[in-house]
Amino acid sequence: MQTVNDGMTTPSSRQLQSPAPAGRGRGLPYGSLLSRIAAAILGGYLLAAASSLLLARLLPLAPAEAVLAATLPSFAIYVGAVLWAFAVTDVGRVWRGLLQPALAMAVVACLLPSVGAP
Amino acid sequence: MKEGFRHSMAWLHTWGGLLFGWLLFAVFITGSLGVFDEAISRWMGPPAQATAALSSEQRMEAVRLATRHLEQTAAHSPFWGIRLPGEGEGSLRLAWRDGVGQLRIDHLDPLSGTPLPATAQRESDGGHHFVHMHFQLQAGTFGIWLVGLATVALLVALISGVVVHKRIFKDFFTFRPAKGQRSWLDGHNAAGVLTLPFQLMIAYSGLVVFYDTYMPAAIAANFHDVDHYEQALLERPGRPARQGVAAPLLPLECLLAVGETRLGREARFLVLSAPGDAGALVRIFGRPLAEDGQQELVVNSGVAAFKGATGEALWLEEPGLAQGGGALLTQQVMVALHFVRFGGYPLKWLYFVSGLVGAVLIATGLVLFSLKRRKRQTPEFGAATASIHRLIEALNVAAVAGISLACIAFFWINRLLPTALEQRAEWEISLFFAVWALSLPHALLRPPLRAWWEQLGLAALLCLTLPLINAITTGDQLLAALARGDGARAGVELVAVAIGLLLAWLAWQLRRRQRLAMEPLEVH
Repeated sequence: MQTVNDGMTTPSSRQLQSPAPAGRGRGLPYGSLLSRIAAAILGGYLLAAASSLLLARLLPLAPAEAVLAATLPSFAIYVGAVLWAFAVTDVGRVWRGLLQPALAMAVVACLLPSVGAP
Repeated sequence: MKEGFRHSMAWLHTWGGLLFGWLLFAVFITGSLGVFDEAISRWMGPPAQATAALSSEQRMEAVRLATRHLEQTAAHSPFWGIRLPGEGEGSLRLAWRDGVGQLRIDHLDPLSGTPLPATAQRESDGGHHFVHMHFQLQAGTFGIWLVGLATVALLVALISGVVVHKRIFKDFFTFRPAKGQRSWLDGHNAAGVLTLPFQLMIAYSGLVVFYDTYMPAAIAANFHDVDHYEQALLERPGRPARQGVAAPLLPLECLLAVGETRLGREARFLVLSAPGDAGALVRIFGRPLAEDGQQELVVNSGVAAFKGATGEALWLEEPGLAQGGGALLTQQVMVALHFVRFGGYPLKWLYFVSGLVGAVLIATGLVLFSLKRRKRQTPEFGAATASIHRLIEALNVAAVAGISLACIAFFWINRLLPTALEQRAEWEISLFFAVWALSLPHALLRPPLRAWWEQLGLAALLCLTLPLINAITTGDQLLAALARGDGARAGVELVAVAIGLLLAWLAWQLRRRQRLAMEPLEVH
């Protein structure tokens, strides 16, 4: 680890460039930012959970094995959803883009028969 | 790649990294220490007794004595735990819950059944404290969820970090020392790129350890409850339900003998659920062998389960055999990768160093955040900008230097608290948190650079003098531990001294910088 240097170098801002919120938000109000964070954390989680619900009923495995195999990749979906939530400009589109597929997957999963014991 | 995308990923990396970095640094440092939890517990616990291994008859007698003691003192506990002596532990250790749900521990002499005085035990959570900090911040289910959220944030920060890092390969060979912010960025990049596979693996496998807590949707939708799901997954019969009808327990020593025969190895501990009930469950856990984990990733030292009232054999997990199907095996391999129960000490060291590099990655990221804002005063929070930046600086100090100080202070607290203290293990943990909590007001009162070197310097001092305080309080000396080949005890102090030297150098550099620069970094 290097020492702290108070720094005669110019601020190189190749990375971590601007404190402005994502989505080219020039002076976006905090409400929009909070909505985006909520969409990422809650919407992303619901999408991941719904994907595990659907996959558990589609995988041709023994019931408990299908449930586990469907749950393991859901964390990757969560992470992907969070990244996507900050990459899209329109916050409304973020909510719709996460909740619509989550709802669709949950509904289809409910229509399919339960794989485990009642 | 579109600049807009890179821009939003940079914002996410900066702010997500800052907010969760404070927590993640603690998770990384305690997780790295937790790799050596057994050695730390050995160091913190009572002096190792040179007891000869117990014979099969002696183990049965010890369990008989343990049962007698528990029937007298813990008849109404929902569970009993009996740990047999071995692996450097000379006593028979009994655990149960008292009337108010508090975990209670007693130690017995395994041959006579005489309770050993608390003063001989130095009751301590030992290395488990760091493991519990690592996955739940000593805050129960809420802590598990918080660490889980931080782990998702870590994965997000790692991926967004790769996205914003344009010249990932070229920069890996670039290090420009003593160039201020440039050097911190080079260090941050090198630490991240070098250990990226490890950080991704450790984060994802960490989530997989608690998958049924974090993502219970598919289990809840398809199974009556988690117990039914686990039975189906492990292909074994259900646990007997509590009957509410008293029934005498079969002599545990007989179940021990049968269990050891079925496992084909010595037992390490026994757990009774609902003792005294007609639905009592007895589980006998096998002792790991030295060669376990040398040839396989998933180490299973075996479990034999019986009905306590009838002695009916319920299930058997044979040592060394994998359980269940492909999905379960996948999950178990990921868990094994996280816990590094395979490969012995070389792998443990690799994890320890990789974990510390992860901590450096987070610390350099936090420092970079503040360095940039010291130089370029963008009014990102309007009139409150200066005080918010000041608060962030102080939180950085407490999150990095403060937790480091608390971790080494925990070793000192272990040696300084009187052994006869009631609830001694809880006191140790409370004082650990007190040290960490005090690091924040200190960081707020001092100029940033001064707060950094004072806390790191104190941590360095505590690390370097750890062998001394151990010699004074226990009379055991580092050289004597080395001479008798007690690698666990000597290792703890040698690593503390090595880390102490590193921290002392860092603190000295920061102090020199503060003097040279006439404190230009003070932000008041």
